[in-house]
Amino acid sequence: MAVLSLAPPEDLIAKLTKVYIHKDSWNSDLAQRILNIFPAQKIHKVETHPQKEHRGELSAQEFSTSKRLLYLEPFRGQFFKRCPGARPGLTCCNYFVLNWGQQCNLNCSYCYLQSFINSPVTTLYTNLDQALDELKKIGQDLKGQKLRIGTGELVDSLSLEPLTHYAARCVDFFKDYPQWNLELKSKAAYVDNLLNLQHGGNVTVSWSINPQAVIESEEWETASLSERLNAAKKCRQAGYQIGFHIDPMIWHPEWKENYAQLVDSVIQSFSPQDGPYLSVGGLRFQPEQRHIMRQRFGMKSWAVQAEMFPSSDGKLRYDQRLRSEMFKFVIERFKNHNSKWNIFLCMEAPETWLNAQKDLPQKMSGLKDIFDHRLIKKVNERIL
Amino acid sequence: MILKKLAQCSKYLEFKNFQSWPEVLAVPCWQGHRLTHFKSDQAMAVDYETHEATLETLLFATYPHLSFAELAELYGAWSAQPEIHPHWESIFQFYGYRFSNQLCQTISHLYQAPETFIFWAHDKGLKARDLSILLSFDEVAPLNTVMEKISALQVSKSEGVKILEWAGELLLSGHSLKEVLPGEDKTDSWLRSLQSKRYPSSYQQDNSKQQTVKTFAWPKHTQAQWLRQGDRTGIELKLHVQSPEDFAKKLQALHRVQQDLHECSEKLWQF
Repeated sequence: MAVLSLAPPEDLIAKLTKVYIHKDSWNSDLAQRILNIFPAQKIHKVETHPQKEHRGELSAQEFSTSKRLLYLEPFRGQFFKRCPGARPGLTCCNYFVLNWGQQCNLNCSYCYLQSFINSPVTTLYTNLDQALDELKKIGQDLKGQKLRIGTGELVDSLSLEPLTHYAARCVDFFKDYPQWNLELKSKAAYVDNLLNLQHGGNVTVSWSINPQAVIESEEWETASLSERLNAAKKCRQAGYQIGFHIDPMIWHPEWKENYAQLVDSVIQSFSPQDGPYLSVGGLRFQPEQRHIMRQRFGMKSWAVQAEMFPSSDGKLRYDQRLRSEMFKFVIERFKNHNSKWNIFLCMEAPETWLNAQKDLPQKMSGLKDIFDHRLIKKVNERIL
Repeated sequence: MILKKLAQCSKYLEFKNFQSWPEVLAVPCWQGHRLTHFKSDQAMAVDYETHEATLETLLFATYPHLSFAELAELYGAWSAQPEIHPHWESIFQFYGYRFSNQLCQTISHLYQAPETFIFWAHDKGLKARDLSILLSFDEVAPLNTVMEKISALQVSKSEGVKILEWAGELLLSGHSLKEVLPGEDKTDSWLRSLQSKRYPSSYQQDNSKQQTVKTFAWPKHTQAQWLRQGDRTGIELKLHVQSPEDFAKKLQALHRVQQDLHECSEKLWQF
């Protein structure tokens, strides 16, 4: 595998104030790379979890600090899991997740990790080989099946790539599984590692995108919209499939103009042939998350000040008619440009699908395959 | 364990609580510190002078239950006592809480709240989660008047928690105290006023849709209203039917409303 050994950006190294390495991970490839990159005073070799005394829920300050503390350890569980969208009441897109760490170094106001993570450090697992072995086992029976596997649930797929090279390793692994699709999902623009790799044409590099005004207000420490789109162009040039997630859409007074511009920026440079699908979703979070969001980002944040209501799955969402209007606006703008754009709604109820799309995804050409629940049952039997 | 006159135990581990110690029992003291009876010397004391009982075990025996508000009082008062070093993790655990910085911060904020509010919080059984809005303030002083009003109006727990959160968010958004206080001493109208400011678009939409629904020619003995249920809104209809003929008559009348619904389609069914 020919991964370029580019020097990681200085700001990425500067933002991580301490790196703890568990003794069991000391000889791992990742630890060795980190030891070469970071100044010695930032490195701490530990025998136990560096914050093992920590108990209970993280305070807002502790959550913010956890983004600056990196911890390397081997993962001692099952890597391969189902996406949290697979719950009764939601129309799910059959997506599987592989987590190579926990916590994200980017800082979005609405991030669901704020109600999910109670570890005071950003963890990266050093035994990615074990994860790939798990996939190999699944592959013995399901090699010919169409599976989508994503890596962006608890970590951003690319925001630490200059340190980990994990995305590159997964791309290399997927060469042998041409029927499977690996989705790397990011708000960063660190794609250089991927550009000279040989790949199987089955990797979708996708970006969560929002208008620049939303990025500036809500998505702190992420790449700008133009950086994300430029990274996507580079990846397309290198033969990758490209995906975009306009998710979460965030209402603000100029939402129509800004989302229109966003759609136009995408359609100016990309076509439906560049990627298999595009997803759209609305702002949503667990009710208790609003408190940490308010503490960390204040009432100026559009996500914090949003008018949110409890929805059928317990999460807070915009009024259903408002979200349908927002989804419809974006979808129509894409479809008016080219009816071949495959667009699906992420974590939405069937009623919202019908309001925005006129049909359920299982009946829509281009989306049938990814919403095939018979296949998911098979995989679940294998991993659960 | 030594039986003494209470007056001989002159150090107080005083904290505000809303319970009374049975008069027939001697007052529990720990190494000369009283755990109850802070205002009176008229009793006997049992002083656990040696290591036969820890401060924590004595506390648990004296106060088997403490509300979250009482726990805040305990934490505030005892943290300021340099002579003792309570094991807070086990104290919180005993009273049903997992010790964390987040919890300590909530408790410290509640401890600064007006006395009347602390009593209201005790009386209504408020928990840490109900008071999360306090953590968005460095000090709770800006919320004092709101908290005093909540306790003065004796609002229910759910109403009080909602009022506190909405008022807090509006203050943080730059609204003045006058704008978030009630115009009159009625909980319903206070809640409505706060809702109209915290959720301005949906409040206005729901109100205007309710007005539209009222204009329709509903059959007699039918109640119709525009209703929000979480993130969904729609018309709730209640019919009182007295006979099959009455049912048929009302159905026919409802057909006429269908026309109204079509005519007001944009007004009603779009956000």
